[in-house]
Amino acid sequence: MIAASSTAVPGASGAPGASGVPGSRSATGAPAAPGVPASAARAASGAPVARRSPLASTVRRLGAHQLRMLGWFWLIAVPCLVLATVVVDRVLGSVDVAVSLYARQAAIWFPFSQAIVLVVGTLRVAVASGRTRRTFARATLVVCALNGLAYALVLTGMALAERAVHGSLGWESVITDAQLATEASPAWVLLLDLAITFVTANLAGLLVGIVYLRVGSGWATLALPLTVGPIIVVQYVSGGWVGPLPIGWASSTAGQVTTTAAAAALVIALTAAAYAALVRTAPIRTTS
Amino acid sequence: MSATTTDVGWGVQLRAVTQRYGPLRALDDVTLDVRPGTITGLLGRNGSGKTTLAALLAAFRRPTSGAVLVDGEDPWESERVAPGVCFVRESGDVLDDWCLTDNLAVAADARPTFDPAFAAELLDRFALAGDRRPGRLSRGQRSAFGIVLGLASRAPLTILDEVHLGLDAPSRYTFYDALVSDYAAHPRTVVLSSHLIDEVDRLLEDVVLLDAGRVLVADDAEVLRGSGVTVTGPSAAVEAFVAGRRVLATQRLGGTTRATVHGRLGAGDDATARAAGLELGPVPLQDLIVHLTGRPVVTGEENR
Repeated sequence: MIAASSTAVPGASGAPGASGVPGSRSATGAPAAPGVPASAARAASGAPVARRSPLASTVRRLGAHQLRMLGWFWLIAVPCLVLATVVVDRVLGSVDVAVSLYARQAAIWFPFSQAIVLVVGTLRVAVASGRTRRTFARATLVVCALNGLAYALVLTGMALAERAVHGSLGWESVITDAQLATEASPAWVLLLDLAITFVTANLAGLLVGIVYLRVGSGWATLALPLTVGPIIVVQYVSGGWVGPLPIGWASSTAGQVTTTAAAAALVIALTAAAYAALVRTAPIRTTS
Repeated sequence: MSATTTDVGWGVQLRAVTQRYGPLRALDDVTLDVRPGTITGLLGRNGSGKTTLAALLAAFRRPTSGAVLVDGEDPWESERVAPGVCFVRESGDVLDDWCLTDNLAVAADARPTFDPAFAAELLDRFALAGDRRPGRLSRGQRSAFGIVLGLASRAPLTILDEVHLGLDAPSRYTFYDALVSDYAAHPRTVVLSSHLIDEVDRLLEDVVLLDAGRVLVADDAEVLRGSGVTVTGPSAAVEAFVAGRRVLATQRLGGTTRATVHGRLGAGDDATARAAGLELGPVPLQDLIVHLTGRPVVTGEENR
């Protein structure tokens, strides 16, 4: 039998080499003293171990990654939009459309693809790291919802800034894509419009990812009308693809906004529920 | 063997567990206990069900039927059990685009028992730079990083599935030394799956041998080693001594032969061997396992 002392000797296995892992710390979160293994510091302190909840720490890690991707996206998009504005001005002499909102489709499909990568690439790692699927599902839903809101906030901010610049130059800021908001709408309507679309796109990305993970590429591709469906439905109810809602659905702009928000909330809730249910029962493959 | 909660690791119980993949039965009515606070070897041929069994313990999947208990609780979606089970595969379940340091931070976030200082020490021992990305590591380096994750997690149930296959010999012995010393300092339950039976033989306290999805042997390693004997000496004397016995393996070097015999010696065999100038020793687990798994049918009597 291998001797297994019941007296744990923190750090007995070797020298306290904290090199190589920046920010080495004890489980209490306090930096280990130089030359003292984190485990020894933890044992010596006798303090209760304060740990971030599994959900909070998973949201923080995944959210930081998504935030980096958001930064890259706008770093590329903004110069392109500015360049487009300059080119149109040089060609036509004025720019009377909201050029920034041409980034809308990119801001739908880029985070959508990132959400697919998120679930396909990290579910396995999360479970192997000791997270439950429940925690992973909740964390990814929170991260992707916040990600959608962040894209909406940035694009709304850009649209408002552009509107101000256009106004100072005597230009219009016509929104050419038919959608809930128009150039005359208050900012919150534009924000709501974009938020509904972007949050749905993020969650639909998660749904597409988990379906690919669970049933393989063949069936998952066949299921795309269903899994991408939430984006299409939300685009429809906001009038994004097929024009204003049919008469009778809403008789006023306020009513249209309310109807759209309610329908989108239902679609988002159903998408999130379907995703969570599929994650909660997903096996992790151990064979290639 | 009883599987109970102790402060030295988590026990495991499987009751009539079957796992099917379509028509294939990867595990077939497996009933098994793993004692807490032991290093248990999970051995068997390719496709015998080792990885599937480990995957059930780590809640990678649910069994088709039967019950899996880790520390007395179904590990599936258990917020208490999940952080305490660390299953490391040779393929590595890590984020390929994140550097090693960030991957370690993910593990540290998830596992209350994770020791960052020990992780740093292991990175040094395996000459791994924290800013490298797993996707750019060689197979051996990826294996080493899996070992770093597995050992530094200090999970009450640590399952290492062929983690050292990609390592060169010096690195493998670095792993064995790190495992034994850390296990002595921080007792826990370790399930070690390996094809390098000769190398891990000395580490194992218990052995579970799977064959075609069924448990062939589950016993104390010492008992298993005592279930046979090696006979070494002049070839003629060895051949005379083993005549009529079940010989598992024979090695010859010049005039000297070493035969591995299955079964316990009878009364007087010891003296007979000594008189013939023969040396008797414990049976190598590898010979025993090759014998047990090399035939289509093995009776219960032959298991012991």
